[in-house]
Amino acid sequence: MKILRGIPASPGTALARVHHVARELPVVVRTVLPAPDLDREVERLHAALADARTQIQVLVARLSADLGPEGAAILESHLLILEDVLIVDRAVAIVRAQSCNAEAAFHDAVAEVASRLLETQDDYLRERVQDLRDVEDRVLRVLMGLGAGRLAGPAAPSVVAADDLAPSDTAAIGARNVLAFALGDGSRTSHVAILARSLGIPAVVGLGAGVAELLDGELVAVDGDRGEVVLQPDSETVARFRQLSQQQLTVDAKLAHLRDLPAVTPDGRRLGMLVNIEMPVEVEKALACGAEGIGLLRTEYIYFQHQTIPSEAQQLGIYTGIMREMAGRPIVFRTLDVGGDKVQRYLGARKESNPFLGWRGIRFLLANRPLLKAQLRAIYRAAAEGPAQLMFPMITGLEELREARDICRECVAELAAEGLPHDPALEVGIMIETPAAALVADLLAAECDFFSFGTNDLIQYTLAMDRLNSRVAYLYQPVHPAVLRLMRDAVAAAHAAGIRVGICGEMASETRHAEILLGLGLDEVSVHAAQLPKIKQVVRWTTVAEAEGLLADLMTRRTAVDAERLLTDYLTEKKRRRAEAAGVEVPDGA
Amino acid sequence: MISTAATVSDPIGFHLRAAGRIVKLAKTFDAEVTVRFQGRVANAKSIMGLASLAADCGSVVELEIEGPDDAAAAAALVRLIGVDLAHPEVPEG
Repeated sequence: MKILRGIPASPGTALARVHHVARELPVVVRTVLPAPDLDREVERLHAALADARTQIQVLVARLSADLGPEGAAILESHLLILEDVLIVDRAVAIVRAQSCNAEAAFHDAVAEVASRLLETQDDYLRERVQDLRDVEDRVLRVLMGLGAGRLAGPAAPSVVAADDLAPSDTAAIGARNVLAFALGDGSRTSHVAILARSLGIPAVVGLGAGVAELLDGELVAVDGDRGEVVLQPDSETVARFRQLSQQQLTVDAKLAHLRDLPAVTPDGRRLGMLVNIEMPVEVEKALACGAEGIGLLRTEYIYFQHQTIPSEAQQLGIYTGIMREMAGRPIVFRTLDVGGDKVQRYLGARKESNPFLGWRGIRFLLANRPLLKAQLRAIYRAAAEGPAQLMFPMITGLEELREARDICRECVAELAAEGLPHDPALEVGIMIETPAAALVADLLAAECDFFSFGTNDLIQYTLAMDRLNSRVAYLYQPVHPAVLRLMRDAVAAAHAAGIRVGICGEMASETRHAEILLGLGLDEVSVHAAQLPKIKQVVRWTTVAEAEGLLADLMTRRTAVDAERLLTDYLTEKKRRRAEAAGVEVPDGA
Repeated sequence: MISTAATVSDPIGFHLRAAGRIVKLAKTFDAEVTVRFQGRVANAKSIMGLASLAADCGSVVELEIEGPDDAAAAAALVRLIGVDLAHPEVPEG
């Protein structure tokens, strides 16, 4: 048995055989041709380019079917690369000048452009080399008659392993029979990671060279929560993973009956149950889990996917599509939140020495007016179709909120003047994810319509811990007195001003903390769809008095460790009592 | 031959899609269009060439246009690079 460690990119576990997708680059053999054959060689190149074009168009159609029309945009640039004179004309010139075969000429022409891109020192452009290689690979395969069959999806349920998957590879593999992804390269924000999370497929990325040890047909266990892949698992591990998946099925079945029931405590307090969504394809799963609305619609994906700024019309199309699917349920649109760990170089955001304290969230938006206005206009227009709300990220004080709201008013005035349908009364809220915002919550509450806690950042900023630095990861302490005090005071400020307050951070999706959220007096929670039934179950089992009692006890603890211990004891005791009362059989809610 | 210049109006500079729009427009003219920026040179009919200029928003690129329809090409390209790139593309049809 051997354990490979990587980055947990999409939660869940899987036990299955490996389907190894090898990305072997075609080996180019250089041949010298007699002069009379050169015209035919050039024709052969043009024919291959045409075939490659057709292949990409087929992929575009498939991606569109899987992810919606916006999902295919990533491949559109590949079509333009195929007809780039810089590459095509150069390749033709090389064939004629060097009397060589089309394969060698095309390879050389691409290499020249790639080295040009690598010289630019511009991260966005350097990454485009991946797109170039993707196109080169496709054209060479056509020229060599190799076909593209290597990237077919698995025929039986499998763990798909690869060094890296280009966007077009993911499209070719699809999701059928894919139980998990295990990749050598990549980060949480890479294309495959986003796709995996949205489809609920466990994924571990960044495994490094170790991925070569994942041999085709071998049984492996993938733990997407811990970021581990177990090779040659012993019988104990196999049994554990089997049990995990079995448990998952049992719990899902037991929680399914909760879908259409409200999250109401035994003493009558109702909590709004919303979901966090990143991609349009996630809506179906959210509704199946009983979502009453979308509490956080992240819009980064829409930008990331296009690798450029999507137009107002494109955004409007995507947003109204989601609104129709949600059929009258409310949707909170969070404006583009780049920066920090979500640096999108193509948007002009550069690597910073301290990105979490840098040019991100609302700071980026206010500095990019045309981009912000296009998004705001699209959201205001989508809101004409149903209940939508708007939320700004990374607010630290009133200046930012006021400036953002001024731009909102500007957009509304424009839309009215243009006679375009929109909702001028759209509710505008903010994320509470900086200690500053929590501390001046009373001032902010007077000038916005709702709050939503972003606990990942709130904890990181409050406890001054970089959440991407594993050495300080232990400081991720949701029940630290500093965090609880900030949240308690911000909730009080919101309610004093008569506005509602919710939460969309990871803390909301952890059943362990559900009672605390109830005790804090939150009006709604927004969670990962898969967690929604479990959180709902906790709410339906817990009285407000119990939850407030727990919070009060936690707040008497002087250290985070003491508070965690108290919470563990409380939950263990509660689980034991419930088991006793129910006669052992209890869904794993806590 | 016409020599002129334009200030890149696209908020994120010559990324792939902006370059794609320039290529599409340039290809509607017979004239050859050369774009220069910080000592780098690109054919305006090449998407990778334009992208590799790495011209940011606000940078001034020089254009050299040579051919039968150079006047029309110059006017159209200066307008696209200097003004229209700031706005989303209007879908065709």
